[in-house]
Amino acid sequence: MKYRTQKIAYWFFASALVLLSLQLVYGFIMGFARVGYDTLHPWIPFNTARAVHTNLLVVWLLCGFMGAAHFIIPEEAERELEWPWLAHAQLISLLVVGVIAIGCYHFNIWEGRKFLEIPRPLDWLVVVNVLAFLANIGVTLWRGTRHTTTSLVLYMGLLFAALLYLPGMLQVDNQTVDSFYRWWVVHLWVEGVWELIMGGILAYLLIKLTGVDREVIEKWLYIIVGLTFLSGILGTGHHYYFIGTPRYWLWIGGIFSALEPLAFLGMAIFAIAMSKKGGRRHPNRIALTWSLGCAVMAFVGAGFLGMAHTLPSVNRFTHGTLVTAMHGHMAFWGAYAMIVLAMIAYALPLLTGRRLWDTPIANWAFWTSNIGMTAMTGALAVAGITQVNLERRIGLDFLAVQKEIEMHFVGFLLAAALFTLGIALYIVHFCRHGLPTDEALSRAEEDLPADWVPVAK
Amino acid sequence: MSASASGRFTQAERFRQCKPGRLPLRTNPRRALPVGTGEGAGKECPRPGSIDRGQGVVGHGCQAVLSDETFKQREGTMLSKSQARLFFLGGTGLFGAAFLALTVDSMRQIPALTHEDRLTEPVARGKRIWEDNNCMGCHTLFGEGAYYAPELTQVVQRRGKPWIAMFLRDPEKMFPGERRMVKYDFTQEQIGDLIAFLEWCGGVNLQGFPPEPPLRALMRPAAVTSAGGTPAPEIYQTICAACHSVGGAGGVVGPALDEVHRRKTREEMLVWIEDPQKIKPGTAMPLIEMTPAQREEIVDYLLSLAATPAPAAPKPQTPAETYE
Ligand code: HEM
Ligand code: HEM
Ligand SMILES: [Fe+2]
Repeated sequence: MKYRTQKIAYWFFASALVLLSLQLVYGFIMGFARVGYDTLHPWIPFNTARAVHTNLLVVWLLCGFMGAAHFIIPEEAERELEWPWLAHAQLISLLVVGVIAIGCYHFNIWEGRKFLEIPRPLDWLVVVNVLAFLANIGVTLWRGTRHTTTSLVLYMGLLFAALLYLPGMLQVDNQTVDSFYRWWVVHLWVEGVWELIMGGILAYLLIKLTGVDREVIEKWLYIIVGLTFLSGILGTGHHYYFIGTPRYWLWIGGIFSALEPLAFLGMAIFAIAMSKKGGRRHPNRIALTWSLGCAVMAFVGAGFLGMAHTLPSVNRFTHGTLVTAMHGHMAFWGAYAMIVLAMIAYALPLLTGRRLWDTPIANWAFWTSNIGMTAMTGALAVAGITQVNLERRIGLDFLAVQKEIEMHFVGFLLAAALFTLGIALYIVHFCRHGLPTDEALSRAEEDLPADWVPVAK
Repeated sequence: MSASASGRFTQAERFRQCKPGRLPLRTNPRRALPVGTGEGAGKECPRPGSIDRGQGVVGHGCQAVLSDETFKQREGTMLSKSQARLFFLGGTGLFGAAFLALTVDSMRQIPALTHEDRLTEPVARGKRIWEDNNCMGCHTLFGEGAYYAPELTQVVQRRGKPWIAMFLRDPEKMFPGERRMVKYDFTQEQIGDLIAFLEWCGGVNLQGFPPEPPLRALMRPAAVTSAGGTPAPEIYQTICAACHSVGGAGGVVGPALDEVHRRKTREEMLVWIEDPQKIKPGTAMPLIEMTPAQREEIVDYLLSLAATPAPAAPKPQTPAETYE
């Protein structure tokens, strides 16, 4: 850590992990409801649990991105954060708004549009909050001595994510138009601007962890985000197949969304190639493991499993079934949850000055959570494919089919327990670092231990 | 090399230095590490002799030196960073513009595709009720939403308005012991609005969604489909058939009714329908509000089934419960 104000990142990371834990609790509530134990139904019906689960997901990821920005931007711009007090105020207000929103969901107060359930007045608070964040980071970057591609891509991602939130607030009477613009938020976030954020963070981590030259890494970063937008913008069409929009979206959405995996494939090849090129010489190997894992799992979850149901002829049958939930879990995990966890793994020793890299707990956390998530995805895949065949191909009644696939949710819950164990270990690892401290300040490019000798492995 | 004078390297330099005791691994200039313009630029490698300046070979993972020219030459042969930036900006601009153009065209076509002329005030109110209660948190509509409860796009066409109105008043009564839905205290008017909204949704041109199940025809033995008797009255089709089947067609919550005429007399049937709970407390069948004339109509229909031979094919599914 070179700048005092980078310490603020720690609080964003800690909040993200708290929200993640809460997200999992609500995941279990839904999982148990699906195997018949819906005892909480009078207080937390399924739609409440779901809104909380997915909103917490989005909020903890945003929290993680903001933490990453507070760590990366001062270092890239080579100066302290412009208004540290604003960063604190902004984090606290974000959490307060989040908690109020989640509270509202328990009292049937929301705007029931998937992923955008936050009640309207709170929407405006979110906008103000994000503007404060962008101003703080933006001015820091602007006044900085260095404008790197990595920091610009990261900033552009965050800025466009904020702008794209606005069409989601459009109020119309036509359900089709409503859906049309809702996807400008949901799709253009996860398959557009968030990939910029992910790419920016990944590039930063690779520069630091592999030592490969910035120029090389940033060149490939441009190619990858170029591929993202080339395919992802018109790829929005894969949500416009069956919602009352013109027929041409079937082939436009089909062709362009089928190109989307290229960006994720590029990301995976890029990360692996850079780590080979630079060698795994950095002692914080767990951070590199998370970074490479992120690139690979993002390709599997978003690229491969997205491709599996993106063509209109397939999507006609899988649209709105558990196949979508299968893809949603692994894609969010691989691309966005893992990049945040990678960033935390990298930054934590630097923020706290404790070099707990590569401990057994950290490694167990990585493998347990990833195996757990893979198994969860497998269980949802089996349930989803069975649902598609029985309900969509044979035409059996919805609830009769749900009964048939109930047993797969027992498997799903066991896998989720394994996954949760992994996250618990990660949090233990996080806590063992203690709090951030100014003693960790160092002008050195890398805070490596003085006696560190690179191991030739 | 700043710190080499003192014989010690800073941590950062240590990280960048050559691996001690190792000879250059890659001497092929094309595969060598292309480093040098960035962070490590201008620093000297602490292990003299391992670098071939002439060709810019930095063969053993050394991050220290490579002249800007050599670097640019090597990396620039394929694609330069500015070309990469151009690809990003150009692609984004081009496809962003195409997307906006298609959006304009979609907005032009959507009114016709969705029959906006039928989007009345009750439909708009229904949509707000739909959102205010986050129905999408369990159901899908146009295939969007959650996967816990049935797809509702064509529910009005499938179930009919009376059934939905009855169901919304007390969902659990209609599917006892099944997955639970929240019991909302909707007024009669709100229920009307919701039905108007869902009916409007059912009329939207969804380009063939939901698809007709391709295997359905193969799964139904032909003999079963010919249910005889007089045509079923509307009240039977919209309410009773949701749970009961005749000739293999209908719901599976209650028993099939093909042979109910053998088990029950006309009077028994009438009393049963009037209030099933009174005859058999705890039964899954709810009290359905009907006029006496409607009850007569239903019983007439069920008795008329006696005139048709019982279907030869096996019953499609075992009923959840019999009322015997
Ligand atoms: C990291 C990137 C991605 C994330 C986080 C993600 C996540 C999701 C989520 C949560 C949904 C459900 C949305 C809803 O129904 O409201 C979804 C739907 C979908 N995704 Fe992705 N996705 C990603 C990338 C991709 C890619 C690259 C493709 C295509 C190759 C893809 C194809 C699809 C399709 C076709 C659907 C619609 C499923 C349906 O019709 O029900 N996704 N995605
Ligand atoms: C303990 C672990 C978890 C459990 C038990 C769990 C369970 C569930 C359940 C039951 C659903 C609802 C599916 C439906 O509509 O029927 C759901 C939705 C969802 N969960 Fe999880 N979840 C867990 C962890 C996660 C994690 C770690 C992520 C992201 C990284 C995640 C992302 C999502 C998303 C995006 C959806 C919406 C999917 C869609 O609409 O297609 N979940 N989860
Ligand atoms: Fe998408």
